[in-house]
Amino acid sequence: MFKKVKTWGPALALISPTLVLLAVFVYALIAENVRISMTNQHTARPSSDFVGMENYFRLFGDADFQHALRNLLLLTVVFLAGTLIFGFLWAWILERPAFGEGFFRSVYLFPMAVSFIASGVVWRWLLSSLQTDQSGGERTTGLNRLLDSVGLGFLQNSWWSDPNWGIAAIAVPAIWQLSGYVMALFLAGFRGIPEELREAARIDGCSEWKLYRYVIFPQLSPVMLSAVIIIGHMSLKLFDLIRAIVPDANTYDIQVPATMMWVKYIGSDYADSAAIGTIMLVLVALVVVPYLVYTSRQEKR
Amino acid sequence: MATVTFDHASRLYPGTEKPAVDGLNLEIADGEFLVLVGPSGCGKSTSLRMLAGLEDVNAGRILIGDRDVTDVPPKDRDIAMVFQNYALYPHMSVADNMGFALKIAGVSKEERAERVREAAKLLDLEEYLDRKPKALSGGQRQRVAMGRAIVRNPQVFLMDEPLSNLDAKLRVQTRTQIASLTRRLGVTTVYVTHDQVEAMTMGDRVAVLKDGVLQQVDTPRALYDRPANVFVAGFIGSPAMNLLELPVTDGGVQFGGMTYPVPRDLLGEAHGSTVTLGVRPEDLERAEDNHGLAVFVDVVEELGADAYVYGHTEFDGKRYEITGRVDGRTPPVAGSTVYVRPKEGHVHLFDTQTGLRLGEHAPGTPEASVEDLNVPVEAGKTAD
Amino acid sequence: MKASRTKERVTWIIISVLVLLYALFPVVSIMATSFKLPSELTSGKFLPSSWTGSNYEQILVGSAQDLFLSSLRNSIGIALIATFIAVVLATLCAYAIARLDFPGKKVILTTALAVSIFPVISIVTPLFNLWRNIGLYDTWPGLIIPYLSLTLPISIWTLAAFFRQIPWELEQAAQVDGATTWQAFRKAIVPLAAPGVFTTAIIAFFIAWNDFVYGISLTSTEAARPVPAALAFFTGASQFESPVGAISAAAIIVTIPIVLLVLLFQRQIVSGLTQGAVKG
Repeated sequence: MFKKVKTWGPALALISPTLVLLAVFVYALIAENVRISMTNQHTARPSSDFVGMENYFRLFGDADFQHALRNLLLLTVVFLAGTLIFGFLWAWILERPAFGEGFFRSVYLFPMAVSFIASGVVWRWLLSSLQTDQSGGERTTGLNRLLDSVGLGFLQNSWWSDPNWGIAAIAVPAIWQLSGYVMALFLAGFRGIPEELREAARIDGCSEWKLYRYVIFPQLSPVMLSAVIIIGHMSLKLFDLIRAIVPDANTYDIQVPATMMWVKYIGSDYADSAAIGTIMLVLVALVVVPYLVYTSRQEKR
Repeated sequence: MATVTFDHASRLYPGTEKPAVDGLNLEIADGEFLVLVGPSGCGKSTSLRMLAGLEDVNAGRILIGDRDVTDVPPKDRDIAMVFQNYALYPHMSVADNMGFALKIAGVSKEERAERVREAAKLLDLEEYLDRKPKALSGGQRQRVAMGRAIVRNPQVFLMDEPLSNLDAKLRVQTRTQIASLTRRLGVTTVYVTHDQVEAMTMGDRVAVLKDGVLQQVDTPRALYDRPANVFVAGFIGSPAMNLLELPVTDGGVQFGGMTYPVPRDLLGEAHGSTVTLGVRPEDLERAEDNHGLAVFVDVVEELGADAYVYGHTEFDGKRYEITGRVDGRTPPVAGSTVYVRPKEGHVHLFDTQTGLRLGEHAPGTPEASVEDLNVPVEAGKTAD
Repeated sequence: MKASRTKERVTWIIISVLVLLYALFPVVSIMATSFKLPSELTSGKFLPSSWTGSNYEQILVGSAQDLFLSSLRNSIGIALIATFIAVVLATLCAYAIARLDFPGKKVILTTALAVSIFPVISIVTPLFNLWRNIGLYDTWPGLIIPYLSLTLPISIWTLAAFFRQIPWELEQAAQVDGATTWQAFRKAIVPLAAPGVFTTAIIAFFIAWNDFVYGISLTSTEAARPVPAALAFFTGASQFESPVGAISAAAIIVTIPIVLLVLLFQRQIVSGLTQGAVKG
């Protein structure tokens, strides 16, 4: 008994404040959230009749919610593809020994440091599809105007104001913001591959392309997987950026579960809002849990 | 199979003034095992990497066979290299590692598997073919690295300190394996090491480098018996040769209380009033009549059959460390003073100013000639 | 050979310029907007034709002063306190994880870290209810506590990685050299651990500072509303004036400290943020 205390004691003393805090304010609240999601508290007036999975069934049957889920999928795919491509390219450029690495690393990371809300201000303007009336006729704004002025007018589009593909426009600022982070991940991955290995591959007859194809890429795959998981779960949670670009959360074009939940929450439909929250939680878990299991298995081997 | 020629090859790293390799001239015969040896920073690895195409050649040429490869990228040189840290691809199995070059070269799957299997058999790696490098011991990894080179059947093997990551016992074993293997395959091999014992035991010929300059290239025996200059004399041999700066007297050099006789014409070659005399530890003998150099014994290392005596002596205001090898049964006592002299005919004389060996026929190496200094020996024939 | 080098260099410079444009354009444009007069906001020009400090005036001493300055005070106070508590708790935890071996370590660590992947927004509803019942709604503690749950997991993660790299034998070496237990810890371990703790603090601060979801859903007045949430409440000087200029000015003010931190400590931050993700 005493021995048990001795092994557990110090560790427990050190970690218990954190454990208690997280247990009460995260896990208990998640449980509470699940409970609310199974009640019929659809208005500000307290009401807590248990209705089981009814809210969930209704939500999944709801065309608006299905649209939000579809948007979320599209957002995640574009966001992932964008950050991976840019992040890899940036890392690839920096990975060659060149001047000013520290400086460029800062530049790439710079967007990440800016809060979504602050950058949202400018993206709202950049991604605007509004036409403003001015003396001298109609003028476009933001990126559309910019594209026009550099002769890429055909690239002009309605950005997020499109019910089918609008959400992809939201991914543009998200990509801008996070490709620096993905770059840092890839760069660390590149740095982990010893120079000797590239030399060996060259001597084994590899051209530059084959060197990447057979030697570099396969070794970057764990990093790539990490990046996919990190960016993927961020995308599922994305809310403040959408909110900053499109202040009215109840905008059909860019509706995702997070914004829809917000709309329900503001409208005091706590049961539905909690149900959407739970669904998001499950979605994130579906992405992350298999990854955690996989990595811990890898470690054991 | 091919010869390798360094023709005044130089490498100057950007931002440095002194070339890392300075006008290297070296001809390596077909099938020869040549060792590049020298202290760290001497340019031996750089020379090898120039041959591999991993370093630019700033001046001069490098030829493999009759083909000038100076500006040919590594992938087109038909060479294989064993790296110091093996550079195995961590994501590939042993078999894939060994067959990788063939895969890149477009060799069919069946032939690849066949050749990998042959090499694995040769290296006793058959049961590990499916493992990843991570799951292998250091010695096994080393063999995989060798296997990767063998499978390709290249024109030249390049080896960059391939044994330096192995423990002492394994190093000695592997050393003989590599030497016999490359001779059996008959592939020209250039081998880099900082370890002169490795150099002496493995090489058909050994090239000694220092500060980017080739000092001497010869068979191990000749290097030991006729070092071309003070550096080679001190570098080759363990324990190192004793080197003493001695005043020239009438008819010889002043060796403590005795005069060591040296022919007059030889002394005439030397610049200045002193010459540097080198004598190997085993070539020192005790002067029972106290007629020799007085050495104060600091430490005696008894190795059973032999004993090494480490001592020092002082003259002309300079202190010299002296090492001698004596019979293990009658070693001197630490703290005592013994008198030593060189065995007749077993000294090496060098010009103190230039460091170069004096005379073509120095005492002690009667029949060696200087002409064969840089002439390749025939393949597969070791000096002894 | 020379020619290809020059060509490579030129390509590289072109790429760099493009990258610079890409990375800096949005921020530069917020900055430009923050110096524009309200009448110019819709001109569509990138740079203001006449530079004005009126937006900064408006939020620092003018009509939006109350809204902005109080939220700035809230943000600084709340983020600093949350960072401090998080770092202290995380240090204890990370020490236990890195140095002590106890049953269930892995499970505890995983459950603690799993918190960082949960969508913050999912627990807003119950938190809102709870806070209203116990009177924490719209108060500093009401934000500090959820910020702890936000920052703790990543802080523990980063610190544990740092602590694992510390050669703890140094402590014993110092004791052998005659130091007391406390001296050994103080002189040998603290200097090694300090950079890790510092990096963690920056990352934690950065998360608390940039939070929006809790900020907007758990506050209702200037008593506790942090800057990112306050930005959403900005209005123009009159009903017909767009608040974009003022918002931009505020965004610049809140972004500057973070950007400075990142630029100064990018190396540490990168290693802190990538350590967990890159180990295969």
